[in-house]
Amino acid sequence: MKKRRFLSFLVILCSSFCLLSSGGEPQTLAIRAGKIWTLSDGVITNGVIIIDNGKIQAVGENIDVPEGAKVLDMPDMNVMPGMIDAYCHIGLSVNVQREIDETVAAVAADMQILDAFNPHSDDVKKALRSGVTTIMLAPGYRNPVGGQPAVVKLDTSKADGWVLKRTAGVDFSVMNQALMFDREPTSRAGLMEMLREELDQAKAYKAEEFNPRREVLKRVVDANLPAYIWAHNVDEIASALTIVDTYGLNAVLVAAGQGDEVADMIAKRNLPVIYPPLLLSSRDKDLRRAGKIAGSGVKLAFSSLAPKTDLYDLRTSAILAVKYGLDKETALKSLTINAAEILGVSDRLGSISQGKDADLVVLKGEPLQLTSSIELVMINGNIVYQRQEE
Amino acid sequence: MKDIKGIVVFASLFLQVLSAGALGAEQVAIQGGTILPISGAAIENGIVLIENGKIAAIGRNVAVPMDVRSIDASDKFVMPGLIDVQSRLFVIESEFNEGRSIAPELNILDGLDPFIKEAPEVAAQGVTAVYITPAGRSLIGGSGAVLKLNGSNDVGRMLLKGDIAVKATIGVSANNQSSSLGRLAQYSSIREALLSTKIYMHQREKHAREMAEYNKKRAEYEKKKQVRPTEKVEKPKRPDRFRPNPTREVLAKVLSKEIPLQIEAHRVTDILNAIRLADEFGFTLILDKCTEGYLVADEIARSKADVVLGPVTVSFVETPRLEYRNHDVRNAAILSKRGIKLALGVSGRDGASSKFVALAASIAVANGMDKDLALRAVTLTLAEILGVADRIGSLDVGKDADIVILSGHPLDTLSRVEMVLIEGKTVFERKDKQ
Amino acid sequence: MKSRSHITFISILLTACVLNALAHAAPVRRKLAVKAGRIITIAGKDVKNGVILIKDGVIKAVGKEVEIPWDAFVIEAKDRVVMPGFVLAHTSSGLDRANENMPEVPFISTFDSIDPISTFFEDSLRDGVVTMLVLPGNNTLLGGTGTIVKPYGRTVEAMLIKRYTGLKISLRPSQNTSRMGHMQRFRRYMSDLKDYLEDYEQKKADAEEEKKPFDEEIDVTKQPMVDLLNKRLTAFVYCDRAADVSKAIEIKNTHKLDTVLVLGPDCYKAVGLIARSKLPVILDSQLVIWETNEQTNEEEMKVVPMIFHKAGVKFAFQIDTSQYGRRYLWYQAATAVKYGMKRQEALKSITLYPAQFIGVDDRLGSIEAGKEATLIFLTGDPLDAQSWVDQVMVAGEIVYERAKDERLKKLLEPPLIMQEPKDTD
Repeated sequence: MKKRRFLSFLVILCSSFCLLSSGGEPQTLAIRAGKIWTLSDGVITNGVIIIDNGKIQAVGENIDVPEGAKVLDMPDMNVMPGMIDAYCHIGLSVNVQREIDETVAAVAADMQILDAFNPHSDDVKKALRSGVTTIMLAPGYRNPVGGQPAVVKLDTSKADGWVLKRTAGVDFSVMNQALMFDREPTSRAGLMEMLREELDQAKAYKAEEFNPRREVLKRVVDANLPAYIWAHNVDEIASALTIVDTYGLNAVLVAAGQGDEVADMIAKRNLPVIYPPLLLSSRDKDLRRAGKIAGSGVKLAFSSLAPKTDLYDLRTSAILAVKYGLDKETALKSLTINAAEILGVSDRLGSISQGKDADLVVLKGEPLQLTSSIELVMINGNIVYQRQEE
Repeated sequence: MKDIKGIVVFASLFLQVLSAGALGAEQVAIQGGTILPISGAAIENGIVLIENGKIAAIGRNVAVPMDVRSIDASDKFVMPGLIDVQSRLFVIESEFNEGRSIAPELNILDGLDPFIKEAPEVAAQGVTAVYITPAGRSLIGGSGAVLKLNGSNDVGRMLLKGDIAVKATIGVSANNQSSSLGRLAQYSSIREALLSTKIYMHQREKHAREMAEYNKKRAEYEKKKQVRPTEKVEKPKRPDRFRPNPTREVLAKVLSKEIPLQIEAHRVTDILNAIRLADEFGFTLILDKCTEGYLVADEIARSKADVVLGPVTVSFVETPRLEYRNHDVRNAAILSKRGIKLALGVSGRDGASSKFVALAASIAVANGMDKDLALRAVTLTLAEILGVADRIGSLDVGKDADIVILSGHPLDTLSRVEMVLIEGKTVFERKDKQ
Repeated sequence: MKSRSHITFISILLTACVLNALAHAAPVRRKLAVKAGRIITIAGKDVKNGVILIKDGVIKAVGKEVEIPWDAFVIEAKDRVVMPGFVLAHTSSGLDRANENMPEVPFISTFDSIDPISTFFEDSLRDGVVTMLVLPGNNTLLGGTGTIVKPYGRTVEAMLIKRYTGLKISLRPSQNTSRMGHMQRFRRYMSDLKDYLEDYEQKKADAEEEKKPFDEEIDVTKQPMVDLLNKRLTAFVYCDRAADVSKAIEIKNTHKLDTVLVLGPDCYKAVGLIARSKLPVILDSQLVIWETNEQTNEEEMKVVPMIFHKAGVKFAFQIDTSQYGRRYLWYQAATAVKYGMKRQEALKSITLYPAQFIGVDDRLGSIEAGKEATLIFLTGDPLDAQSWVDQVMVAGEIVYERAKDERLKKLLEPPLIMQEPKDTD
């Protein structure tokens, strides 16, 4: 067994060395793997993925490997799409709290979280081996309007190409934590009033006024830009739904941990939910909620809310959710294609299918097996992480 | 003569049968399935025989008495109960306010509330024992204790063993602020405390000698008085009372290696300082948390200190905290490959997070730790480090029958715990058959 | 001759005057007979239209067919319910300060801190309480000794029934201490005390041996703890939460103390332990507690007196002067009855049992021959919210009459009507 493992490691090492040393010349890559979890066409056993120019050219069971292609032979491995962390705050300055929560201004709609992001920070480098290939970098929950989240690929080695969406939407919060004692709003009623005022003013905004804050909110009010609304408790979710209804927003609920208690209300409005990491709760009744809310027909994507929990534990969330009642297929989707769809990048990410970006994770063991180690991570066809034998 | 002998033999046999019958209720046999004793190789289709709360026999060919309560474990896994070595179960919130810097005489049992309701959930995940230490704000806090989750409302009846180790901390930040000067001061304070304990031990010994001397002289004096009551004899002077200092008494036990000193240290310098203290004073060292241990694995291996590592993933604690900045989830794998004796803990946000013991072990495996060692790190190795391996930690004859039966391998997070026994008594049984 | 008859006449006249004056000054009624519509004896069955015979402040007889002596003063109370006065076994109200700053002060006494003018006492009397044990508060480890008083009197001496009763120990940690630190402090104190006593005995033995006089007394600050160890004082141990109960029992067993448990609201969880200990129990004033079930998220109601009652535990009630309802002992008893406790048992918990717990049951707590004539006259059933305490008798003397209760009258007066200021310009 060990010999086999060493051999396959050697093969990967050699192949990837060739790949890495081939310089800027794009080369066709063929990955042969024991199990390919496509997330679009089921699981392919002993299948092949053909990658060219950073995109998936083909995937299937019996596919011809093109001439001159580099072959990565991994018969014992599982391959899945690169995971997507739907909401987190990595790569920001040391005092994370200060960066993600603008405490002076309650409404910070024009702030772009990407401005505080350091693409070369240790955080980002460390995150490369987590199996998470794309993240939604987002503001926190302490502002009624927190700023603009961005969809970002974790391979920041090149100057550009890693920002998929600079302004993915606008972040809102109706959480109790957005209420401060030294600046408004100081009460939920005050918070709701503030939001209504902002959105009303945004409605009446005209381009000539040149107000970036109003401008981006106008796009939200016109449902051209999604509103990502932090709401955890049932009453907070209810407040969020009120705003959504009043303004007809295209919205996503963030960290709706108690969403299962009002799942029918959420499902009725077809709102997806970015689910908080399960390791934040340790009580059985809380761990069961993910299964319950999905069971009521609400679309879920998992998030780490890093650094609240570690980025690596995105998969842990999914596995724990399955342990406490979520079905396996939904769990895998919530790590990949669901997140891509919710973030509006499913044309490029979320599944191993033709035309999509070659963002892949290779695991030794099945994805929903917590003991499976991450052997290799690929973004845009480039290997960004590979496990070293100690 | 023969008749009497016959009667005696018959009578004794009869009595034996009777007593066996009476104790028959205390006999349980777990049959079928894969047994993971931890102390040895797995046993397929094995049998575990339990008598009076202890493991009486284990193996493939075990004679199972007639009227024994039988548990069918076919297609299941049978293993010893899991232990969380960094648990907060039962600890009352107020105990985290204990700010006195040096107070090892504090007893963690005083700070526990057995009526806290999180225990059943934890037991339902196969955790049969927890090691609880005073929270890490004191420089030298009290001693930790191991409790069994047998559902009792009485701390005394849950207690397996107290005074496991004295807990100390070097370099833990307060309010996420830490300074090298501050940490140096902490190190010095601990060192000073140990030095003054040495002096105390000398004084105590001196007093003991003086008392022995006095008692001898006193006996002589009594004798003389008896023989010659009228003669003037000098009465020996009783030495002043020696007031035992509770703090120093506990630290004396550490210095005489009766109990280990468990030092929580995160950064490299703090870990090295802890090892330096152990070198200087010769006590048994347990390194707790050991966050940056992977950077000084060689030094730790050389020092022969045991390591209680946790949290395996930072997700278990409130982040961001300064001391976890260089936390690496591969820490366990690296340390264990160096041959360091390792236990894994959850070190979670609250008492209920102790249920994630198996999860913690699985994460360690995913990041390079050997499967068997990881499983041992939450059972036998853990028990050995805590000094309770005579009672728990593996399925061996003579140990307590603290057993977990699972639907699959314990490191497969999706396995379900079917049944949990503590000392042969069922404390959990899964009801819903999905 | 004339002068002598003058003197005789004047002296007879004077004597007559003096006797007359005496006779009218303070009518000492040595013999009383109370004719009551209903007598709740507590000791036995209620008596309808019964009589209580009292002589020199002591109950001589009680029953339906009791012969009334010719010279007994009859108190007509046909429309009244007469029962023993309520006894409050534990309170820290009516003190200047309930808690001391230092944790170990067993040598102080509530006797020095009782404020006779406090409205707490006035209200207590009005509400039918005739005796209370006032102990230090729940925030001091070794709080001091208690005092049994009656709730009226101008000075503490006048209120006094018995000094130096009960020593308060609290297991609630003081503000910034942990429970571990608190318990350790207690153990340290007891260990130092034992050392001190050993030394003391040693010195005494030495002196005896050397035939020298020994007149050293036990340190006055330690004396109450010594009395506690010798069972001359009873420990009243406050358990802040259920986890403290086992500690209290451990303390009792280790030092072999006479103990009464004073419970916090959630101590009902330890009912099994308490029942097995067979210790007397004083309940927290909060009798109905709502708890959220962990698994189902549903609210469950816990009725504390019923939990203890079902476990066979004898208990007394406490009051909370800051809450309406719970400020009355009868209300506490009525709450228990509402949820299923037997009436008789509930009434005992505000009369006989507390009297037993504080050691005054030889005189108080029930209406039976030989006990003190300390009774309350109610306008209706004690558990009826409409009933008033009409009169209170202590040792045969009426010490409270609602008709003469000025403050009560003022409270019940119709509100003043504001007069419009007259135009004076």
